[in-house]
Parts: sequence; C-alpha cells; structure tokens
Amino acid sequence: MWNMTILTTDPTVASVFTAANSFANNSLFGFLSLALFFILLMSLKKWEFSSALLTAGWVSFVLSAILAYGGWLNIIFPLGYLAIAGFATLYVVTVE
Amino acid sequence: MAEATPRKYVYGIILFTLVVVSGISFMSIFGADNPAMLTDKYGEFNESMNQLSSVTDQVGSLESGIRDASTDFGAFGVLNALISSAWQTLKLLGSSLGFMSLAYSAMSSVFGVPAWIPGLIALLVISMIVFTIYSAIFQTEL
Repeated sequence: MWNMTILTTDPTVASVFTAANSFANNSLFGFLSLALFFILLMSLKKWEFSSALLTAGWVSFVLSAILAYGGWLNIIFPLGYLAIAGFATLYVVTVE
Repeated sequence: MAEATPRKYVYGIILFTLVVVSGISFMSIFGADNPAMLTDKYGEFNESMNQLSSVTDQVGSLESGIRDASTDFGAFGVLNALISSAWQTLKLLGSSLGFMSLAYSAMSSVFGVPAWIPGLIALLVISMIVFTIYSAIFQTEL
C-alpha cells in the first residue's frame, strides 16, 4: 500500500519524518505548525490578544514558509498565517 | 470601537499592505529557488491582497492635487487645491472600503471560507467607518 523503501534504505530521523508526512498527505507538518501557532498564542497571553495574534501569526508564517519551501507543507498554510498577521495588523493600528 | 477613526483606518490599510507585501516577497525569494512551492493559490492571494499600487495611486493623486495648484486664481488657487485634495481624501476612503471587501472576498476564494462571512465582516467595517464619519461631522455618538 505505502512505499516503505525509504525507511529501509535511508533510516535517518529526517527521512522517517518525511515519509510519515507524505503518508499523511502533508498534514503531519500542517498540524505541527497549527500546534506551534496556538502554543505561541497561549504563551503570549500576558500581552494583548491582538498583539499576541500578530506575533504568533508572523512567526508561524516565517516557519511555515520555510517548511513549504522544503516541500513538507502546503502553500495554503503560510498564506493563511500571512492573512492572520495582516488582518491583526489592520486591527491593531485601526482600533487600538 | 469608538477609537477607530478613518485616519487610523487608512494607516491600518497601509500597514496591512506592508505586512502582506513583505510576506509575499519573502516567499518569492524561496520561490526563485523552488518554483514548485508557488502554486495557483499563491498568485490568487497575491493579486487580491496586494493592494499597494492602488493605495499608492490614490495617495499620489492626493499629493499632486496640492503640488499642482493652479496659480491662475491667485490665493484662491491654494483654496481650490485644498478642496480638491479633500475630495481626493474622500475618494481614498471610498476606495479603501473597496479594498476591504476585496481582501475579505479573497479569503473566500483562497481559503474556502463561505462567502457570507467575509461579506458580513466587510459590512461591519463599512458601517463602523460610516458611523465614525457621522460622529466626526455631527460631534455626537450614535
């Protein structure tokens, strides 16, 4: 069903993650980036929510853009985080 | 909400554009090495969210309205230019409302958000700006 040769021929940690990610249709790193986004958002709770959203959105955007460059993540993830960062900026400047 | 003025709204649009353009150019640096990363979604997002040229055109015409004031009217030439730049400001605000609905409807097509959500958010922002202008003119809160 799955092509497991990569795990037997090149059993490094990176290849295991790459194989797991491709088995899961790129959702492994997708959920990893989502988890990172929410962890950042929660860890910045001493700030205003909008500032925390802006920071978490931008940091997640940069990291997910790097992962998308490596081919581990769909382009929609960095674009989504970029939209979050953009609209959070609009809110911070306009309302606060 | 009471703090949101049209002036801050225009600043917010410019900073929104700054964030989106810097993010898009960041990804295009990667895309130069790995073009496979940039799919149709990237182009679609870029076209609809990247509003730099339209905002720049509007602000540029605002500036040229004052700079190219006609000297034929003497002192009234400056007055004429100020009236025309006030009109351009209103136009800028009008086009920035269009910017808002464009940016939100892009979310609908790129991210698959149902169209009524961005539509209602755009309506909320437009009504906020209209009430802000009303309060600024009549000096009362509605």
